Amino acid sequence: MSLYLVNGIMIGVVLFLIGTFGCMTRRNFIKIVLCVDIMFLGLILFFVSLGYTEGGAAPILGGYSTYVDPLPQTLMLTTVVVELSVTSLALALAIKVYEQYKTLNIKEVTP
Amino acid sequence: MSELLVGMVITPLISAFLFSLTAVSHRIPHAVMMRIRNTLAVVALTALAIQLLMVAPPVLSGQVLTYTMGGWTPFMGIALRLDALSFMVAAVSVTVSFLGMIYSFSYMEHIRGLGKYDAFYFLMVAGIMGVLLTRDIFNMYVFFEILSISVYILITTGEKKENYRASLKYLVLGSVSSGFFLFAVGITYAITGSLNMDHIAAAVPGIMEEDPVPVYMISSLILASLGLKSGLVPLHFWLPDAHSMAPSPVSALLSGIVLKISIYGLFRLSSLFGGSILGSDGVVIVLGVVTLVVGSVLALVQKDLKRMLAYSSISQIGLIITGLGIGTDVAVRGALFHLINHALMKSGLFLCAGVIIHQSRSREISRLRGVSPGMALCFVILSLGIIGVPPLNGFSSKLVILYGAVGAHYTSIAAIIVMASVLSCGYYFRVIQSVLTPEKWKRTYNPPVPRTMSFPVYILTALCLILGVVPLIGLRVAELAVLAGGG
Repeated sequence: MSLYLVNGIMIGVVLFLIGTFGCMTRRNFIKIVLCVDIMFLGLILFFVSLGYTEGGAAPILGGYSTYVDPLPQTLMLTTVVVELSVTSLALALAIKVYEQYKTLNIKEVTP
Repeated sequence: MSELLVGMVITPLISAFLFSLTAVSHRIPHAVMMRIRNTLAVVALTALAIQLLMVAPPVLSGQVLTYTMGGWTPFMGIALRLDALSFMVAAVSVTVSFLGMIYSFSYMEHIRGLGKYDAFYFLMVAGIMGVLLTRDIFNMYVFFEILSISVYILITTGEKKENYRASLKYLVLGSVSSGFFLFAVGITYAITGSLNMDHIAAAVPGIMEEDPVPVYMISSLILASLGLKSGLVPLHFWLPDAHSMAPSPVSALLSGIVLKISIYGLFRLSSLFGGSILGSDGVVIVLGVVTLVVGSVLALVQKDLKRMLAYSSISQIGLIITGLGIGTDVAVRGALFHLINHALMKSGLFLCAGVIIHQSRSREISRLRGVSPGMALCFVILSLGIIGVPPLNGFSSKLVILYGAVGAHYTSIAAIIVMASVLSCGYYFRVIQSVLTPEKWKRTYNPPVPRTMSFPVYILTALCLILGVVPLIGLRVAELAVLAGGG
């Protein structure tokens, strides 16, 4: 385990925790959606760092001896797509909620 | 034979795609379009049911069907697997979603005009089948997301103020829970180097001996994530909103199936990590008992019929979790049997509540009136089933759980379960009293029930009666499922 690997994983976990904390404490719905995004970005960084090898090349056919583990990267492509759809749905819902309640404050929307 | 497993995931996916095509603007008359949609829905669900029936004989004789996608070995590729546990939950899911679809032919007619409802309904079924069949935990996460996203959209199909609010609440909490699940998947990949459940199950004992902390971390993350999705008590506050605001067929599927899928996930993943998720150190039992009691007490004070049913779901989920947490063979068997029973009874009750609300034009329990006798009878039978009155299926599964609790020397828990059943009399009898009071029948507006709405309720009631009179069918399947879920 190199120093860089530890850093990538640590930053990912810290971002995840910041996102979770934000989801629980923010009151504005847009900010909550952003916090969910931060949470998933942290997870993506965490996963990609898991596959990192010191000095590894991109996992494409060629004459290299060490490769970066490609599996976490492919997984994260899927997560990016999932995250995109969740975010777009959440923002669409935010528009609908604003139309109906004239506010985005979660405390005022949910009694 | 095992190619059918792909078919079971693909069939609802393809039909969701076809339904989304019918939402494109077109010149076909509305009546013709509705007929096309109804035929498509029935054909797709029948195909799904036939595929399940075809694999039933080998699976129920203890065989396990495996299919590796594209011929890749499980280390790289994704494997699908069907054993008795997933078959049991899949059979109940397909039955309930079939009946829910038929129910929504007339219930959701004005909303189904857009084609959105059907497409997401089938996407949800695809998510359910995917979670049940997959053997790869990252794939499980993806199917959980497909399931949740379609559920968020289905909740909004009522298009009222409260629908958007409930969906919003569920979306935020569901995303947090998915994040936890994904984090657990990441740690699993880091310590075992594989995402395949068989490889993980083989690697975990060695890791437990070396350093059990990461495994405990994974277990607690998964318990928090799927506990949130299944509404365990400190994390239950999104559930009553989402389940009571959604249109009735969607509520039926949410309470009947989607909650059970999370419990299936808990049970399935628990055996992978050496039983440490539902482990016997008492945390899960305490959570289950607290859920059971709090759900019952909160259901007592509800005025809204569907909200009351949602709180009752929370308490029944608590009962199932308690059974799984006790962990002896008998208790787990009873819990899985109760899982089937509750899926049938609660979806029946929600469909029935849809008819009752439609007929009495009120959601308040004290103002229910003008209910047609057939529906009232079904409601009485189904609610007696949830309370646990002898000739019905709820009784036999509760009895097995009680037997398991006493056998494992948890006598006080058995007493609490009985007490919660008495409490459930309290809230169900209020509705029964209001529905059955005769002088309210006379001066009432009583719109006729369309046949597509009454038949699903009758069928679910009949299934509950059959499972109640011959509980050995369900118990035998649950026994096979325990054997399959253990490995």
